[in-house]
Amino acid sequence: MKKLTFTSIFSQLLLLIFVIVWIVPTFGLFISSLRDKDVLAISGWWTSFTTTEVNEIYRTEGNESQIKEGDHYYIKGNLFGEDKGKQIFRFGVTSKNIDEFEVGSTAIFKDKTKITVFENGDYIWKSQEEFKKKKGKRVFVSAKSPPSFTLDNYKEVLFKEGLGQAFLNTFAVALPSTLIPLIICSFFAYALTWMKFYGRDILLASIIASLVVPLQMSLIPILTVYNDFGALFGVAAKSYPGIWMAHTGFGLASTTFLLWNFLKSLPSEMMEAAKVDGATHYDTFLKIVVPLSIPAFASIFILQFLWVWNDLLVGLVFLDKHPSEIILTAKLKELLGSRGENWEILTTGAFVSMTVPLFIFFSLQRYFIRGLVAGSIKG
Amino acid sequence: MANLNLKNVKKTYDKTEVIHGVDLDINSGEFIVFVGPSGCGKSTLLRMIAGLEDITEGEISIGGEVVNKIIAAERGVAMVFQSYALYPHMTVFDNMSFALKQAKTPIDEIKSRVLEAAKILQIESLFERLPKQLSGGQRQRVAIGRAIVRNPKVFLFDEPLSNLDAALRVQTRIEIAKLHNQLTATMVYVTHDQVEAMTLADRIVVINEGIIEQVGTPIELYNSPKNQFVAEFIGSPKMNMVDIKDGHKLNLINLKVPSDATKIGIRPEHLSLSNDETCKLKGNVRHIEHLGEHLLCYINLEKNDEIVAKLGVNSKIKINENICLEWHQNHQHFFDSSGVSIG
Repeated sequence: MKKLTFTSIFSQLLLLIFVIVWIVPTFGLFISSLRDKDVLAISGWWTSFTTTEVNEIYRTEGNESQIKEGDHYYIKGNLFGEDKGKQIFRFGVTSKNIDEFEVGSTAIFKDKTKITVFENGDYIWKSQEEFKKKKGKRVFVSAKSPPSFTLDNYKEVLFKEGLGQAFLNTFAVALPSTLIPLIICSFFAYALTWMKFYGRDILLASIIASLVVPLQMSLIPILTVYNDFGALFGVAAKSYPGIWMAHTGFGLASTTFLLWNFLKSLPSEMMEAAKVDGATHYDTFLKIVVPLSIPAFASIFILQFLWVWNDLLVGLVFLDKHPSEIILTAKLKELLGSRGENWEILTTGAFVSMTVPLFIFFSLQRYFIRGLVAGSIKG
Repeated sequence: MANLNLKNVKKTYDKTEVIHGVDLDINSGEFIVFVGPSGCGKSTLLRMIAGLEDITEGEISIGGEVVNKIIAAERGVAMVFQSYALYPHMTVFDNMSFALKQAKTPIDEIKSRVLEAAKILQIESLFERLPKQLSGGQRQRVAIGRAIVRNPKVFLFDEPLSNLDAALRVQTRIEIAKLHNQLTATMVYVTHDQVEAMTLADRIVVINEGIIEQVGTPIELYNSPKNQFVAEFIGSPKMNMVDIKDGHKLNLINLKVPSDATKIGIRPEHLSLSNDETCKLKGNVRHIEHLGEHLLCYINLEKNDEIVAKLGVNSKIKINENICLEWHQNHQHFFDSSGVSIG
């Protein structure tokens, strides 16, 4: 058992705080996205798990639905109409005393008509004379409302607002933009690590140096070059290949650097054994280095994929805003402007954009951690 | 099986010469051990034979064919590395068959050759395991097996036992010796451990600072070292060196000292206690180590020099006692001022 010291308690506490700070908003966002849009507007997500008491006003049906049984006239119905599920526990018939009567008992209106209200909202309104008014009477109820969740927000956001298409667009951007640099850089990093050629060190130094060049600085020049170049082949100015190439370019340096870092931790004697065994560099790479680098590939895949997924700037510059090209982050930004007051759309939209990073992180987290500490622990 | 010839082989790293022209002829089927202190260039020399290092100058030929420009895989050599260098993601069978698969050998032949090698090393039962599921000794066997499978002209071993514990090292050493007898292949073995060198080698090559100090059978090196370096390197504990002209109480009457000799060397196991009449060297006992089969006696000479004597367990000596030592004249070695052996 590890000894409890101040630092260990402190670090555990810090971890706990991080976990809470991360989980609570995520979870809240998720719950909010599943709530009814009217409820969402007036109460916090944490109230949605408990049965809440609500005071509401309903109106009975009017005289056209009355029936005569014996010498009395009746109007029967349900206060809630279609929207059932609540439980009434008290009711009243005047605005001064809205919870005067126990559910199941009979109240008397000013005009001597009697009404009995049941727990599920059914009521029987009884009169000795014929009902004359077209409008029903107001009934005040205190009801318990059970937790209720709905997928309606998702239906609306994904299919009506076009976020579903944006989601697919983002995939179409992110997958190639992750795989292309990974493939290029794995070959490149191998060459930098295990092949001797003139200028290798200078090349490596320039890659490390290019890590510090801000993306924003090169964005517009690259777009211009791409457009001029694309025009030669008749490619549209803003299109998927453009953004793939842009992301690939921006990812090359960091991906190469991370992979180089991992590859140089592989034992050199193993590479020499492969050489003596008759493996060319190409064989060594495919049959020995790649199988052993899966953890590194996975962790770099995660980093690059999340970066592309969450990117807004490159997506705005290199892709159009029409529905077949707009990416998730750009779409969310657009929704924020046009539907800023509709929280149900924003929470749901935000959660949709989070699902993929969450899924990737949870399914590949062991590679993620292994990749980050690669080389520091003896295998 | 082939002979191996090195002709004036040199190696330079960035203008620093580390191998200064090595000439060596290794006969077919011979077991040669390169021995020397760390950093002497013995591993570099081996790697040059293997094709892992370029040859700056000179010629290496295997079976009469100059291999300077031939890549490692086509030289017909197989190498066993210090760290075993197994492929961690492949099973034992795949590790052993990798080279054959690279050479596009038919699958039936691969199976029979791997099985044959595995039988020699008794590792057939490990075929499906991964290297991480093997013990250090088993990994070393697989590494040797991987070399055998290729049926090379020359086997190269780069300190193959230094990662094993002491007991396993002795056992594996014996197995390598057996393997050599069984395969009758040419083997070049690099080590810094002189016990491994003495027990395994047909001929030992003592290397120091990039040059060969002496080549010879273990007994030749032990009995007649060419110079002070070889004399001190071979044998454990190392040979005692005593300055002659410095006034130690050497009884020179019983000694015939060559005129230009500055040092005399006597191995600890050749020293024995004597009476005053036959005394050749006097000293004071500083420390005694009981090793069961013998004593190691550390003796202070005048001028704070220390020598070691390996004496019988029944020797009645005490710490701080002044004793006399003698030796047979066949066991003495004289060296001149430049360290070269005389006589």
